[in-house]
Amino acid sequence: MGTQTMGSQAGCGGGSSGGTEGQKSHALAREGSLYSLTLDEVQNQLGNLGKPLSSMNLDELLKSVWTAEANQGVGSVDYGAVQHGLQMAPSVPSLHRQPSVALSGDLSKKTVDEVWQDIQQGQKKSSHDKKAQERQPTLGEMTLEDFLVKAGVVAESSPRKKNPGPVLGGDPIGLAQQNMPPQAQWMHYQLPSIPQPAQQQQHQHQQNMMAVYMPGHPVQQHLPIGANPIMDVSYQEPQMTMSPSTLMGTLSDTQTPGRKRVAPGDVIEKTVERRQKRMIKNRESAARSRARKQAYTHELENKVSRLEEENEKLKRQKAVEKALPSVPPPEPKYQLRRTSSSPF
Amino acid sequence: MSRYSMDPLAVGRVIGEVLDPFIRTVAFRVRYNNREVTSGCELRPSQVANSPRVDIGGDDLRNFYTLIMVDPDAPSPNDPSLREYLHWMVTDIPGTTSTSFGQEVVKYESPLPHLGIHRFVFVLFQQLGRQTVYPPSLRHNFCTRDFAMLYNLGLPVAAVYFNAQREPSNRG
Repeated sequence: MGTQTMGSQAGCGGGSSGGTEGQKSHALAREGSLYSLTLDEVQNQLGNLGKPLSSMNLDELLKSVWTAEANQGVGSVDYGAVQHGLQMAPSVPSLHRQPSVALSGDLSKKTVDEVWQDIQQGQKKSSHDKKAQERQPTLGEMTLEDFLVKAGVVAESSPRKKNPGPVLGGDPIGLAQQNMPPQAQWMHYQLPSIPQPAQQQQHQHQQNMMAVYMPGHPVQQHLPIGANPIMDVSYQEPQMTMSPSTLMGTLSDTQTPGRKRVAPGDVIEKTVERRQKRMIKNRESAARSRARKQAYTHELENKVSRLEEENEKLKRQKAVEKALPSVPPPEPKYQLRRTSSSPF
Repeated sequence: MSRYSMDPLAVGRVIGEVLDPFIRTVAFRVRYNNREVTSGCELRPSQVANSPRVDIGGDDLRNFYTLIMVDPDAPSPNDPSLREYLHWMVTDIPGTTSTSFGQEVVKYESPLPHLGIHRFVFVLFQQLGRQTVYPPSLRHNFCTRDFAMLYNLGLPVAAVYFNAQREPSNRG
């Protein structure tokens, strides 16, 4: 245990954790934790599970992960700050603190496989989104935290995060969090976990938070498209506390940021413009058609006259030939021949 | 009345959009399946699927000619954004012979117009010398004028064109 990645990142996270940095650290710490490993790697790590990962219930999965984490002594995490778990990293750390957190009955009973199906369904629906997703083609390649996020496990604890506190740093974020309805808080998890050095963590969070909170703000211009598919995915989960319809409603509003309200005058102008363009195109088309017809007619006329000329020429030649049977200019037949016939 | 303005090449705007005015000096016959192409006639894509037989005149075997076939109305005459599309190029054709004696440097591509009625133009140039003309890398957005300038081909010595549109579907 204790792979290289974990070691280095845990060290980084651990080093800066504690004190004022504590609030950011938990996210960092997560980088070094089990959650950033792919599910395949996790399976390896938890080698002695006795059960393939895919058929485990989520409940069992989480318990194993927690146990494994505890064993690895990822103690650099300042669990004190863990409750502000709504960072890019999943807030499963918060679950650590509250091991009594029970996943809602349905979710925990679902096996990993079933949850994966749901995720894939959700991804299919949203496959039209152009932005690159952290879409994993296979379950095994998905990182644990992504999986949990998508499964909506993490969101379960979101309603508890009523008092985010200073963890998120900047004012707008704090403000936003207060304004944000509990339903929207889970959106944080959509942000891909990006390993960042500690000092940048705060800014990172701020930006991400801003991006994420947009739907909550009527003035926000756009929602990171990356958010959408994940949101779609979580809608599959029946026990989601958020009201999907509300949020979707907000989303659809914000998805048309560029479209201004078109004044009647504009509409008329556009129609006129379109009509004019159409007219011009038609005119050109008609001109081309006429030109085509004319061109062919001319060509035929030319050809006809050419052929007629040739015909005449040939006819004349033929007539001449008839009159003068021998073609090469021979001696004319009537020409007197000189012969020595009469000797004088 | 000048004969010139009645020239189908001019009336069909081939001279103007594709070529500059020129004087025909070399005999030029393009035949698809023994059907001769008369400038401005209309042919079906099925009739022009394979390369035609092209016989050229001239008076000297030692002169070499280049034949170019382009579609100036690609992808559609209303919006010829790919003008001109190069369908065929044969170089080093000896005078008084035909394309079968030249180098097919750009393979014949069957005309398959989708939108509108396209013109397909055959142009014949006299080369300065043998092996002096090289094909472009792309077929679309070809410019005959520029190409001629690049390889010192001068003005065309002959040209002919036909129209073609999408093959009508068989009914019944």
